[in-house]
Amino acid sequence: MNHDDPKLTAYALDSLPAADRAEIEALLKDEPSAAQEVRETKEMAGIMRHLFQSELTETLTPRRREAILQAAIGKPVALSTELPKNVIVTEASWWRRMGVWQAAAACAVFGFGVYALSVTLSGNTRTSKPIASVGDMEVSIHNLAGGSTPQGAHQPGIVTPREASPSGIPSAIAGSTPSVAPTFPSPRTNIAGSVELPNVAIVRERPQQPTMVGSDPARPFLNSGAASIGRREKPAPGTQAIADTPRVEPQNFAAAVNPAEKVLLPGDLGDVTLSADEASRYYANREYLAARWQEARSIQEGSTYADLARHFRRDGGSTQKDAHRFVMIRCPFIKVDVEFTAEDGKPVAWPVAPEARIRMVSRPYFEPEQGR
Amino acid sequence: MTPPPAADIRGLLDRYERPLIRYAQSIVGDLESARDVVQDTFIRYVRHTSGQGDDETMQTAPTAPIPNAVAGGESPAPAPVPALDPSNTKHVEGWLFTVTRNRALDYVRKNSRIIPMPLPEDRASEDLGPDESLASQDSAEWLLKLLDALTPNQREVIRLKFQSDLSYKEIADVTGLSVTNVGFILHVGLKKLRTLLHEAPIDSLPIRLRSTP
Repeated sequence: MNHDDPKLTAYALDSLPAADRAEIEALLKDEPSAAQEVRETKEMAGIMRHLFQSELTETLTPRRREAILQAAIGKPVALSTELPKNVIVTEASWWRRMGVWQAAAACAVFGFGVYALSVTLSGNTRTSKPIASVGDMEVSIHNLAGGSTPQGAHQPGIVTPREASPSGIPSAIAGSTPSVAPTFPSPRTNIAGSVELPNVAIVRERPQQPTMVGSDPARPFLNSGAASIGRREKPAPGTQAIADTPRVEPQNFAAAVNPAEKVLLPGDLGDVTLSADEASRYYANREYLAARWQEARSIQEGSTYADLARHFRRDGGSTQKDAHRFVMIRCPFIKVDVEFTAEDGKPVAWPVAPEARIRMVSRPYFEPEQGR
Repeated sequence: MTPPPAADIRGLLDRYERPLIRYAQSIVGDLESARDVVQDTFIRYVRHTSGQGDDETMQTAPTAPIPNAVAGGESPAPAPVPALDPSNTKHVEGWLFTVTRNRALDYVRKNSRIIPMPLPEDRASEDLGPDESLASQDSAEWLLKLLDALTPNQREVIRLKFQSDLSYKEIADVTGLSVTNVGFILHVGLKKLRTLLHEAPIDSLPIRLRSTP
């Protein structure tokens, strides 16, 4: 038998029909190399099994499970992908899941109770108050144009879960027709291309477990108070690390940041404070630029001019004979220098054919657009 | 038809949510999208078993090729959704994996213009001590890099075999491949992994095959 036979692997994985097993076992007695093959395959299988099993840590979140169970008892439930884009549904906070008493005990252990008191006394509280509470979810009205709607105030056109669904399930999740149709003022587009909605009903989690500032210097943190240049502090209760907030659709970047909060970006000599508006743009632009960077890095030696032209166009400036500067179409500040080669390996001057190969491409660099 | 009891659904969730999420994540890239896909699959299961008529579930699209960024040059094909007999555990398992796979491929097709950017939390973590965690993480990351050298088909079949412990036949049902083809892909994939392990410089190896002579 050929040692490169899938039957050997099937035997090693106990997946071979009994009829074929005898044949393989006879082979293994006579051929030590085949037996070695089987041993290695078994060991490799064990390693893979261990690797994959160790990955099985992620579960559905309580809210997602609840949606499935609601469907099982006959409640109309929207598929997750059918959630309205203007509504952010986030998970139950850790302390909510633990229960109030355990959460209180944990707070005492970590001393956040004292910290919360100091923040309360200093007046640094969220101005966005929840107007409803459904299960472990809060619903609040965020007025991105400034301020927030007082608790209890009714805003025409704003859907709240209790209005929308007598069953207690928010209409956004239940998929039922809300009693008040969600009508939003005309959105305006910001520079990152995301859409800001002046008044948005945000189904938002209760505050998450505060993250210790400084545990990850790359992470920006929200702060409900003023900037703290030159020192680092724990985020106040009621705030959360922006990096810990769930990913949201691009059009929701603006809505994801509470206007009453500021974002601290850690710097070497002190934190830099961003306003909510800046933070929204920071969040969106960071994602956008990361995508552009990957796009730029997809162009490598051996790529064709046709590959390049999908992402870059020729820069308008002067071009050397065989080195050409290209500017990214989706972000004109990102540029690369490229040299092409013909089939015979010689450098070619402009114009080049779409199938011309890239001989050299520089790392992407950042440079103002022509004329700026 | 009456909806399945909530207890049954809880049992299914407890048993299958983890492997389904990881399987979906291996296709769509990020964790939250994978959770979307799995939630969607379970709701479709509930609708389907309660006769709420979920026509979409039975669709075997996507027919468009999966973008190279995700598929690495090969296009995993959607599989026909098998008949569902809720009283048969193996049927249910096959159904859940197949629908998860099709929904994940559908998601990738619809979002093919989005370049996936895995978040740090997209990698699973274990509750281990610092040293153990570090060593284990090194080995795991190293192995996952090895897996990147495989074709998407090989990765998928290996994952279904060793993560979800599916039989050749079940893998064939989920992926739409023949049983023979599954055996061949598994054989070639494992052999390639062993070769890569043998070829790697000894001092760079966080793991070794003990049975190597």
